[in-house]
Amino acid sequence: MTTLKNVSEKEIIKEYLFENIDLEEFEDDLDIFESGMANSLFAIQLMTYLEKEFKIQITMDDLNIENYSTINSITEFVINKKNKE
Amino acid sequence: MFDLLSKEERVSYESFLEFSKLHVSANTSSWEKNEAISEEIKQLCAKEGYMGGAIPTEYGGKGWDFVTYGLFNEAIGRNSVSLSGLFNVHTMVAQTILKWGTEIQKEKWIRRMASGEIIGAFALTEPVAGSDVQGIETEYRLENDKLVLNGCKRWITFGGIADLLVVFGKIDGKPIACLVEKNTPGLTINPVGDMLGFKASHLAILNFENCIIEKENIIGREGFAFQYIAPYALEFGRISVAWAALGIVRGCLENCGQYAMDRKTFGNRLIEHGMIQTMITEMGVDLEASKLLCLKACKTKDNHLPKATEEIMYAKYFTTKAAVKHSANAVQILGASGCKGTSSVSRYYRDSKTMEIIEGSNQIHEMILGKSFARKGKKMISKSII
Repeated sequence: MTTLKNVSEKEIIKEYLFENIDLEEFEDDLDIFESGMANSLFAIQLMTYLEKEFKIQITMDDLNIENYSTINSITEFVINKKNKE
Repeated sequence: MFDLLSKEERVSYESFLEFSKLHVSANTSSWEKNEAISEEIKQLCAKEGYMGGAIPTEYGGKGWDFVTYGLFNEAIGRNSVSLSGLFNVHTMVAQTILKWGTEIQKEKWIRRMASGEIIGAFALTEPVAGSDVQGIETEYRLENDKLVLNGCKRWITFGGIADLLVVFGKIDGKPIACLVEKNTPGLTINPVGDMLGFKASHLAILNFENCIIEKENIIGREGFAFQYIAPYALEFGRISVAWAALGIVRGCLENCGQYAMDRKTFGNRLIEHGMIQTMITEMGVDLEASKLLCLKACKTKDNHLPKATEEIMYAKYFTTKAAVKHSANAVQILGASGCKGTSSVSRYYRDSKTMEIIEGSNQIHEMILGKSFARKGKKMISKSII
């Protein structure tokens, strides 16, 4: 669950997604890949962005589709990952 | 290009050019004729540490940045894209293991890949599936806690001599990739000859018939092979192809420049004719543009920026198109000399067409980049930036 504490990460992720996918507005729980808004190459771009922006290292252990599907799930993944590292 | 490189990059590039001139240029024609690079060049590349060029030093590699890796592919590609193709597929496999492999897989394979003891190849394409990876029919099934692999891979670059393959398939309908060793029982390797380009790249058809694969050989996790593992690896492949195509455009200009300055027709040097000036001007300007695109893409990749994915595609798209156009013009300028099978420009003409097809055809690039540029264009209006 995303809380106020995590607003900054969420806002950063939101801004990046709005900048790079087709819609200008979408819900925080909308699946960006299932909805067809992002292509498979964007998965790699998003991964690289998250690694660079939040100084995390995404490995095989993080290969879980739910980690990257919505604004909320990406935020949650980033926060958990940062806490672990 | 030198003025845009660091001192270290310039020194490396000069050594690559020297190596290519001494050991590649003189042998390319015989490799093409034999449809195989020689054992000697493989050993020499291993001895020089080139097989581990893009592998981190902690695993015995040289730890090149991507600009240096690109410069290496340019220098080799100028004289043989069949040989640069070796580094292309070998690097794709090494980087796949480095990113998505377990620590055990890294320890088991990466040092041996860096030393050149083993060669890697990337087995994605099938008789019925290329760019559309979802159509892949190769199948893994779980049986007695092991994987059983059945299927066929075609047009696998260096598949004929690779020791270690990353083989893509599906398990229960979900995409998966596994490391498969050459000597796995049930794997049959048949060379593919008489190709248009990349003639010495040991292309092969790989048939897998009930091959038993340990579960420990899975790369990453089930379900992610097409969305993460293949696209991640193909970025490295596109870097190699883009820079090798740049080497071809340079080779076209070198060959045509010399010929146009020396050859006389109707009492004048060829370069005095307007139509030759046009062809060589376009060649030179596209060479300069290709250098900038390749350098920018690799600097972006070196800085680990997300836009590297697209910038590598721009470089691959532009340089391969340029190589096709200018190798055709180079054959035209050199006339009958350029038509001889062993001439450099004849080889460029054949190889560059192939480069528009591999690592995501240029039409696939257009499908992705067309939409992306349109979106960027729309945003430019609202932000008033270029």
